[in-house]
Parts: sequence; structure tokens; C-alpha cells
Amino acid sequence: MAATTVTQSLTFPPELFATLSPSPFLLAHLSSSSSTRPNGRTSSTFRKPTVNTNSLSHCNGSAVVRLGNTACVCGIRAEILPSSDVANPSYIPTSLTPESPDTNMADDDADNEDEDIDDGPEMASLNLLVPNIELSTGSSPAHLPGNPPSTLAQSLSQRLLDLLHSTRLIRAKDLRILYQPPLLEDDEEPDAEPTVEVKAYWVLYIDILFISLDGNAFDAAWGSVLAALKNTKLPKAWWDQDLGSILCSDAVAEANELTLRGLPVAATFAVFDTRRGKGMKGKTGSWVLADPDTFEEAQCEESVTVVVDDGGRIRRIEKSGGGVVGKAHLRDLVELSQRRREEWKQVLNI
Amino acid sequence: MPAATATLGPLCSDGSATYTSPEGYTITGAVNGPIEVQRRDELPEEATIEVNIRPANGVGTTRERHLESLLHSTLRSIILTHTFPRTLIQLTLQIVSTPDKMGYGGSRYLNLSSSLPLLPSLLQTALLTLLSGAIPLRTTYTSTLLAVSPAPSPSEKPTIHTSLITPQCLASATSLHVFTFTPAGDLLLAESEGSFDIETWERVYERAEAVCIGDGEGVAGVAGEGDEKAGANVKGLQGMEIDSEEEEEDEGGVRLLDAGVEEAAPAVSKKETPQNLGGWVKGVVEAKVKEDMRWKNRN
Repeated sequence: MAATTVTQSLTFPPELFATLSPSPFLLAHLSSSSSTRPNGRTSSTFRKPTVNTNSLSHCNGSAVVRLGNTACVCGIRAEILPSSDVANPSYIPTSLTPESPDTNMADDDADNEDEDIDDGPEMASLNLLVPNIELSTGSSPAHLPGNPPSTLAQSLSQRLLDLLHSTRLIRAKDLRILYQPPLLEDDEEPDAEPTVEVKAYWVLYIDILFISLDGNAFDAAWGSVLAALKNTKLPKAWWDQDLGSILCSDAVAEANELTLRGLPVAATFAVFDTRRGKGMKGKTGSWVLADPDTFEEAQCEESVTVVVDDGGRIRRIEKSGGGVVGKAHLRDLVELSQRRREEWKQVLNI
Repeated sequence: MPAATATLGPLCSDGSATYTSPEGYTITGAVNGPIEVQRRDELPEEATIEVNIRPANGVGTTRERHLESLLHSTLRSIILTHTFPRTLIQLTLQIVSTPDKMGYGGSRYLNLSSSLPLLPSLLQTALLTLLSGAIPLRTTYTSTLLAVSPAPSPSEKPTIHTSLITPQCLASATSLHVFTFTPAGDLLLAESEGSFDIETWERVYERAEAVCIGDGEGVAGVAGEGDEKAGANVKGLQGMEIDSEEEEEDEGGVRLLDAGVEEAAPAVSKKETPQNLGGWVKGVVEAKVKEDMRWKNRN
């Protein structure tokens, strides 16, 4: 009689087990022979991204990205910043020469890399890129609508900004609105080089709204930024000397696309360590979980984000919160991230 | 070459420290805890950790929020938070001064506006502050910044700079790396940005490991200088006729502090402190303990 009571008290549905003692629940899944996570994936499986671009009609570029139950919308709006309004004009290049037609090609990275490399400070100091992440949309129970931006949201926005700048993804050349004064016939120096002035810049406001958040906000946000930037069209703009202002053409055929430098893709991993979780005395082991969902993120203190580009280049490594992933682990994670990049490449049609 | 210097206990809070990095970042940290926690932040089974970073000028921005979250996750993994459930450990870091970068072109170079050069100083200050406040720690850590600049010729490997990353060095670097190690050799935090491959990263990892917890061979730079300073402190105190054996009889909170350091670096013998950052931290704390315990010898 007593024995049956004991067996009954130890039986309860998995949902209850997960709620009551989440860490042992995750451990039970991972340490089973098949080693699948509660969400059915293996530890190195990512969720397949789906991307829908240009669904917002009022944006210069937009994308909806979905990773499982994490979904976000990225909208990019371009606004004009006249050079006369820049507080510190010393960063605006003055010695520009008129563009030769062949520099507009997309595949001139190798040739143009050297002259392009200096535009990072120009973009950063003029704040030409303004990313912002909004989590307080009711995207998850932890992010109720109407709340001020949480530390997580601010931190994510900053990481996006750092990554946009350190990868030098966007060329300042694409954002400049130039003006070439006409050469006058009675010019004193007829041989003078024709000069080009930067009259204004396009400032890109990159807003990311999370519709639903089920872990791994950064990968989803960065993926949506990439997809939206790939599809961003800036109207043809020029300086009208007579009107003294910038004019834009509304012809779609004349609009310019952005040419991005490479395709850096982010892959996030969470580390589940039995030494840290509650109620796991005497258990040992650690698992690196690719693309964690909210349930897993809550049980993992350590997280690793690797950003890789083509040719085995690593653009960023962010790892904090614990000491499980070391030198050997990281090599594997970089390899996984390379494979993940191929996946994103397919989805983004590049 | 300037050395890293640190003062423990300059303020009246539970624990405090001022740290000046060789690069010229001066940061003052203060910790209070365990103290009462607001209901909404209360955690039933562990202490809440709050990290506030105040920039040298202006108010905190998203950049400080990001650095705070990095420090929070690092400290959460080393503070024994389960010892103080339903309390708050509040750490405030005020950046007092930053090195003059305008002389080197200010933000004309992208790396100079990066937040990575600041991170090791923040981490070191946070650790010294926690040690000063006798907050029970699982282990200690040491943190360092490394810069990789392009190879002088195509046949060579990229150059890794470990000690005293000057603004010129930052400006020409192709990648920046921050590494934080526990004395046991676990990689607690790694932040890298720029463009590099996995082989370079592994080489940087090894160099960082040598600076932080290695035996000090070939890393005479920051760590060595710091050690000299700590050694000088101890020497000055020895002038006051303090027997080093006396220290082992210390009681109460100080022993807790001392024991914590000892436990964290079991491989480090007391007589022979190695020339690394871990040894430097140990030197700073030992000097402070000796200073505080000088009343025991007053006759």
C-alpha cells in the first residue's frame, strides 16, 4: 500500500516537471541516450529561419524574420541629414573626387577595400546608423507592453550598433549625397580637379520590433537587419543649387541599393552547466546548446555569440557568464557558425 | 612605462577600490552588500547583483548598460550568491578618467571608440572592490586587453600586443580582444571584435593566458610592472617591522578574505608570487591586509 503511494507521487506530466524543477528537467533530456532537448532539437541544431522582405510599405527596406517562436520585424527608414546641420563637420570628407563608373560594381571589394576602410569613423561619429530594439511589445511575459526599454533591450541595441560598425557592413559612400559644382568657363584655374562636396547624408533608422520572443533575440534581430539592409532602396537624391535644398526622385528605377561588405552571420549558443543549476547536486556535465529558446536561456548562465563571415573570418566573439567554453570548444562553435552562415545565405538568397 | 596601480578601501562603503590601468583608465568602485533588496528585484534563492557604471562624463547610455550586463553575468558566476538569498549586492563603478585619445586623432579611428579597452579595467576594479568588501567569491579572475596588428610581411603571423595598448597601437589594430581567466584556467569572458581567423584567436588566447595566469615568461610588461609596485608596497610596510608570519594568525573577516585568495590560487605558493596579473592582485590584497593589521604589532 505504501509502495503504490510512493510511485504515484513520483508520476506527473512533463509540463509540470518542467515548471517545478526546470534544470533537472533539462538535464533529464540532455543526459538521456538520444540527448535531445525538450524542444526536440539536438544540441547543435538551429531553428530554421524564415524571412519575408519588404512587407512594410512605408519603409525604405524591411524584413520579417522568424526563428521558431521568435519573430521580429525590422524596418529601415532613411532620413536626410544636411551637412550644414552636422555639429562636428571635421569628419566629413572634403577631398572626394568624382566617382568613376566602375566603382559602383558590387564585386570590387578587393580593389576598393583600402580606400573604403577609412569610412568607419565617418559613420560612427556622425551616427549615420541608429539601431533600436523594442522588446516591450508583449513579446513575452517578461516584456510587458508600455514598459521602458529593459537592460536587455538596451544591451541588444548596443550590440547591434557595435557589430554594424566593427564589421563596416554599410559603406559611407552609399549614404553620401554629393554635389559637384559646375565648372565655370572663366575659372582662373582651368586645370583644377573637379571637386565634389558632401551636401548631406542618409541616416538609417533601423528599428526592430519583436512580435514574439522565444529566446535568441540577437540572432533573429541581426538576421532581420541583414535581410532588411539587403532590400533597402534609397531614392536618388541630389542638391539643387537654385532651390538650395536636397531633392529626391520618386522613380523606383532610379533608386540605389546598398552594397554591403560581406555577410557576417551571428550564431548564439547557451551553455548548460550542472554545477550551476538548482537541485543537481552530484551531477556533472555541461552541454552547449545552439540557438537556445527562452526555457533553455533561463537555465543557462553562460552564452556565446560568434559572428562569422566568408573565408573563415571571424568578426566578433562574445562570451560571458561562465567558464565552460574554452579554446577547444570555441573552434567547434566557429565551425558550427560557418555552417549556420550557409543556412542564412540560402534563406537570404545571396 | 606606467604600471597598474590600485588602492583598496578609499571610500566608506562596505568595500571599495581605485584602480588605474597602465593605459590610463582610472576607475573607483564601491560595493555595498548584502543589503535589503526591493521586492520586485528579490530572488528567493540567491542574492541579486546590481552593477552600475557611471561614465567619466555625461550620463550612462546603452553602452554602459551593455557593459553592466557583461559585468553582471561575469560576477554572477563568481559571487557565492546562494549564501545570501533575498538580499542585494550593489556595485557601483565610477570611471574617473580615461586616457587622452584626442591627441591621437580621437575617434578618427574606429577602434578608439570601441568599448573593449575599458572592459578589463572595469573587471579588475570590480574584483578588487569585491575583495575589499569581503564578498564571498567562488574564485577570482584576471582580465587583460590584447590587440592584433597586421603582420609586418605576408610570410609572418600577425603581431599580438599584450602590454600597454597605446592609442596608436589601438588605431592600427585589426582586432581587439578581451580575455578573463579564473586562476584555474577557465575562460570566464571573451570579447573579440575586428577581423581575424581562428588560428589568430587561439594564439591570442595563449598569450592572454600567459599574461593572466601563466608563469610570467615573456610577459614582463603590465604584470611585471604591477608586481614591482605591489612589491614596493610590501617593502615599505616591512620597514614598519611587520613580521610576515604574523599575518597568518589574522582572524575574522580578514582571514575570510585571505582564505578566499588562497583558495582561488592554490597553485600559487606564498613565498614565490609569479609574474602575472593574478600575482599582482594577490600582492595588492596582501599589502592592504598587512596595513590594516599593523595595530597588532603596536606596543
